[in-house]
Amino acid sequence: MPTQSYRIVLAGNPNVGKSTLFNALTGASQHVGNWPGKTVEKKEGRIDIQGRECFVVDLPGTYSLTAYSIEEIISRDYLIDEKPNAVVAVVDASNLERNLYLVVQLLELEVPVILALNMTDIATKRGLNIDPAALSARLGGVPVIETTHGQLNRVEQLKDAINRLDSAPRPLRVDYGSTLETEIAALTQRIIASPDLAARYTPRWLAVQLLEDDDNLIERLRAEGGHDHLIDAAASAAARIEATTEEEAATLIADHRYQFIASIVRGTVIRGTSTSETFSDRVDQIVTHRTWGVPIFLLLMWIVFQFTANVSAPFVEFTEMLFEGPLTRWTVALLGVVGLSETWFESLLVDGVIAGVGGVLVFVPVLFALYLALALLEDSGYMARSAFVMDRFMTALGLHGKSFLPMMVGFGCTVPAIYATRTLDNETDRKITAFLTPFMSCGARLPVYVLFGTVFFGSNSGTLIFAMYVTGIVVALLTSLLLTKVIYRGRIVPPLVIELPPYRLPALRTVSRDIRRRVGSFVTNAGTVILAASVVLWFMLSVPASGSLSQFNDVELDNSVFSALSKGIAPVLSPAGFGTWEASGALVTGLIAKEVVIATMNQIYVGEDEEETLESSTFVDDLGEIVTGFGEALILTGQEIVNIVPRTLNLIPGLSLPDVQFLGGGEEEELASNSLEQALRSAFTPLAAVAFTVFILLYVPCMATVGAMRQEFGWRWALYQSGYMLLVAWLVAVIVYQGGQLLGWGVA
Amino acid sequence: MASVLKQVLQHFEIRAGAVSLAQMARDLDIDTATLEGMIDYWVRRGRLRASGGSVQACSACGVRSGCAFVSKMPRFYELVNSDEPISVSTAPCGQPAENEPELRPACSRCGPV
Repeated sequence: MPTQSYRIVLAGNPNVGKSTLFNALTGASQHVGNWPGKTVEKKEGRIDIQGRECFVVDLPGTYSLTAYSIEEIISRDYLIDEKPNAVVAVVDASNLERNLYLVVQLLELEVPVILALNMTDIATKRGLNIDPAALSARLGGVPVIETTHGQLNRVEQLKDAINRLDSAPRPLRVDYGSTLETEIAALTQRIIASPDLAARYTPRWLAVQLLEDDDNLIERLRAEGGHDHLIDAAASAAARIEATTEEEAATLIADHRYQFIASIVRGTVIRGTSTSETFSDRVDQIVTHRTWGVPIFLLLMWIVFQFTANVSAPFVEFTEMLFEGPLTRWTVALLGVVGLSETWFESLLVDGVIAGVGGVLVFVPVLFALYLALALLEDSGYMARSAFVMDRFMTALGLHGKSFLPMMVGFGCTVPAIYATRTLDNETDRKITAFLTPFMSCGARLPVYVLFGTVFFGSNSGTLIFAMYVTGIVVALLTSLLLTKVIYRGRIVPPLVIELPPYRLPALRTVSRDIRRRVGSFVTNAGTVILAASVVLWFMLSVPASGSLSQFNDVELDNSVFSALSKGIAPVLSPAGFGTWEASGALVTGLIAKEVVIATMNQIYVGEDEEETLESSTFVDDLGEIVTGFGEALILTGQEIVNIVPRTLNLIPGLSLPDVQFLGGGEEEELASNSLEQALRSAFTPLAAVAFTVFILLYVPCMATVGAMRQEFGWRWALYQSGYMLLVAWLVAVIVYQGGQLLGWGVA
Repeated sequence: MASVLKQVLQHFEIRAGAVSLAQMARDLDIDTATLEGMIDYWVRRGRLRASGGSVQACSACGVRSGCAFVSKMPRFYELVNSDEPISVSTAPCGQPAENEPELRPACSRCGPV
């Protein structure tokens, strides 16, 4: 029967629901502080059992009682020194083998244990059915109570078990084999011979701990004084064991515990057919296959970019119509009402802000499609496999297998990708990986590919986008080859073991949250960085480079300050086929952020040509246009989703399935008819367009990337990287353009 | 015959290229959950290093786990090579990093936390 001084402790591995159970037990009557002299949180509370007040302590989460961490030392010392009346060992039923290690050690310590079986719902989902009675019997009669959240009366049952707990310990004896048992028995006798020591410690447990070379416990004994002979005897015993078995005593002891746990689990857990695991195993045999793994990865990426480019196209068209038509007309009409019609302010809003920011926002559907596809792959469990599949390539190039994941983060944004290299433990691996991540094509570069792909390659724009992403990966891998074979030679890359999660149906909530966050960041960027850049750019395009300031907002673009500055760079880019001041200027502003390239092109190429969208229209006409456009976009999106199938099958040589047409033909010409697209068609040849997109892919992504590199590795590395990227971008773009011309592809 | 626990470590030492936990358990003829426990042991002893798992990217900027671009990384295990220089921090996203002079500012692309 619990008394006033009855002490209960909750012990268990981290993240097994121990704190939740502690809260359920103690309710509001708890106090949170720190363990004396430590920065580890200590939670204490009170509960009433059969009218008696008991004190409950939540021990830090630990995996064992062998002192490898501060949490393990705190837990073990508390159990030895305070000798609690009941230890509630909270166990994750879905991970029983891992959790029972601590339970076995608690039982070896001969403390009165109640086993709280938590998370049985997850275990059941994984096809694990645990027999609590059998588990109790195998553990020497330890009470086993199911305490999964939502379990009826779980707190009452636990309290009842505590109330009925026999104070007599239930020692558990793990058979450590004859060699170890002989030494354990001898040491145990020595400990029993010292009454003071035997009173403080469980003799057999102490003998085992000493053989495990528990440094902290040995120090504790030395501090207590008079136990040097025992410590020396344990060290000699451990040496004899190692000489006989050629293994450390500590390893053998842990190994026997695991064998013991495996035997308990075999007798208490019925493994049903775990559908997800069986399915995952079967799929993995194909998806992570040595030969097929990489082609499957590339095929999936190809489908992702087809999906991104084509499925989003109808809504890009719709959003474009929205900005160029109704929104521009409403803005002009509103400004007319307040008397600002045909002023420089109207020009700023229409030619600067709407053309700039709006020109970028039209690509929100593209980003939505990309992040939807990536979130589906990520949440289904495939992305983890991609790291596994790519590991062979990565290690062949001298890269760490883990480097692939920061590089995958780079497909979203380069800046967090550089920071994500911190998950690599080795400084050299970090430097190399961070150097490569900017070559992974980020989301901000995607609108440029989509724009040029749509203009010059129509429904094949997905292939251009795919080619850009693959080019980025190839350049990154070649760069890594350069770094690992020339600069960082002789590195040994350790092999990895990867815990692959089971495949599952993507959760709508997770996918929608990921899309919302990522698209949200794109929109936020459009509303801040791009808005500011658009306004600055508008001023630079409105101020004449020569002549009077009275020409402000009435200057030929060719004579603007921006044009004058851009013309200084244009000759350098001529060999790559886009040596105009417009293209050069867009690349310079693209250093702020890649979306600004689109904003700049919109202001330069479209800004002067808005009249055609400003034809008179009533508000009702506009609403009708929006509703009709939205409906058409929906139908065409459905059409494009269906068309992924024939386009993917057409990759098979000899197969040529036609596209499905929901609204009849001719949409492509319609899609490619806006002002910017027409202007680009006149300004670039298809070959120059490819060279331009290659340059966009390979040169410095944005100033934030340079800043991230500087913060992580210093100015020198940041400048090396920027210089290298500019050089590579220029070289590859020139090779593409000049090589293409030599092959006769340069015809407009 | 080496203990299973030692065989686990040897598997890391002799292996070339990545292997999945499930495959390694099959190779050693033990249950995956038992293997996880054994790997835990070597991680605690400092012979193996664990990283990744759930949502994890970096501890670099103020946005941390709210960052839109962190990825769900699988859990990795690898041998600890004591000769190699260790990087400044491996703290998971959203947790305090040791030896960090300051929190990094959020990158320009992050949305609201």
